[in-house]
Amino acid sequence: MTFVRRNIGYIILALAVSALMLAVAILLPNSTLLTLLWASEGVSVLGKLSVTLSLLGSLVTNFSLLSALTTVTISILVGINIALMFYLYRRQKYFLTRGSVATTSVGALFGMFSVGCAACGSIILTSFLGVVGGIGALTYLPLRGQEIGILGVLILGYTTFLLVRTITKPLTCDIL
Amino acid sequence: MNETTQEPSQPIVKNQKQALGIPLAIVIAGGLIAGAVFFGLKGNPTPSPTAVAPQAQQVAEQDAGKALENMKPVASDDHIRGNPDAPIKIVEYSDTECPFCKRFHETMKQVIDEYGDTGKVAWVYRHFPLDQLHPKARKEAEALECAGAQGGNDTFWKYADRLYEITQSNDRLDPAELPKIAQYIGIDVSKFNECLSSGTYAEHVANDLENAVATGGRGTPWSIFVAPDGTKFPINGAQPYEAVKQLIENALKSS
Repeated sequence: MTFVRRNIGYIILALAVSALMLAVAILLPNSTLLTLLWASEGVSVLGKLSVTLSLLGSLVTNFSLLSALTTVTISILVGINIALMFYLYRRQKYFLTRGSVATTSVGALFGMFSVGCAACGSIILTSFLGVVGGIGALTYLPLRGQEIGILGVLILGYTTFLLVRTITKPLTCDIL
Repeated sequence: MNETTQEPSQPIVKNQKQALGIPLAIVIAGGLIAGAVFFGLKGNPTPSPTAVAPQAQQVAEQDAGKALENMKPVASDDHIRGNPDAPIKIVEYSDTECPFCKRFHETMKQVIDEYGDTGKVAWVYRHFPLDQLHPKARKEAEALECAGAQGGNDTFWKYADRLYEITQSNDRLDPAELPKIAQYIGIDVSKFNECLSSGTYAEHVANDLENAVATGGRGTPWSIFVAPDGTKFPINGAQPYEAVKQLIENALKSS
């Protein structure tokens, strides 16, 4: 309990970032719908909000079990990574290496690329590569692109490990 | 002197493994994307998707909202469930072997159960077979058309409902099941087989697919929600019933 009380700010930060990341990941495939909807003058703010919130339910309807799990895991890991980085910066005055920031970003990027892999090609990657290149690429992957999400989890798991190790390591000068 | 000290403002740990992690991650990312491009462009001998490739590139450059205007207008030759003159139309581009299309088919049936009888919503079905993921889907789309040609709009939907009901998705439906479905819904099986083998509706299916891509479709199910004032909204993927319902309610309120 003392640990929770002492670090409540970081825990809230981790939860907030995780929730935000998850919401973005779920809503990203329908960014055009949301852009047009929120720009629409004929729909009330409440109506726009209700559509946006109801689209979050696509985590159940538009994701396979594996892609839902990787998306949730990536969101949690990104939240933890950001909170740990803030902790390092504020408590230990440790200046983050560009490496740890870059690796976390790469992991998060992989997470975003894997979004909606399950939806028969409607992933960010296929949008990025075009319908032919994207879907063609998926046929060569045994898990039809969900590997990208797993890779994102591994990369973020690795950065989390590095950050925790740095935090728990005594402040010493290393022999190179 | 082997020992080095660092300023507090500099990284304290210069870990070799950590240093390796970044380039490794970037190399893997680059490799994956390069591989995706390479295999994606090299590996597909199927003529139709290749034919739509330049169009897909062109559409990607267009504003997504404008691409929706490329939607072929709903006409009498479309397969419509509900009131054809309904103020709200949901045009679905679907792949019979996509598991998410199977799921969304049930969602749309629920929508029609609630809004179809009152004439407020019409469901328009068009084909979007993703050959590279589901090679069997194109022939199944033609089978739907053959059923419709023989028995009309209701027969088309009966065939579609039955096919989505029995397929296990991801190309696991045995093609031998197609005439069995025809028999199940009570149409002439020999006429159906003749239609299917002749490829009468191959062009129709190809046109639907081309139109799906032209409107910005990149995966299935891809749907376009047409509001009473004609405004179009894209629905990407198998969205939950509640989301479709909220869109309908908003459109009805603002009309």
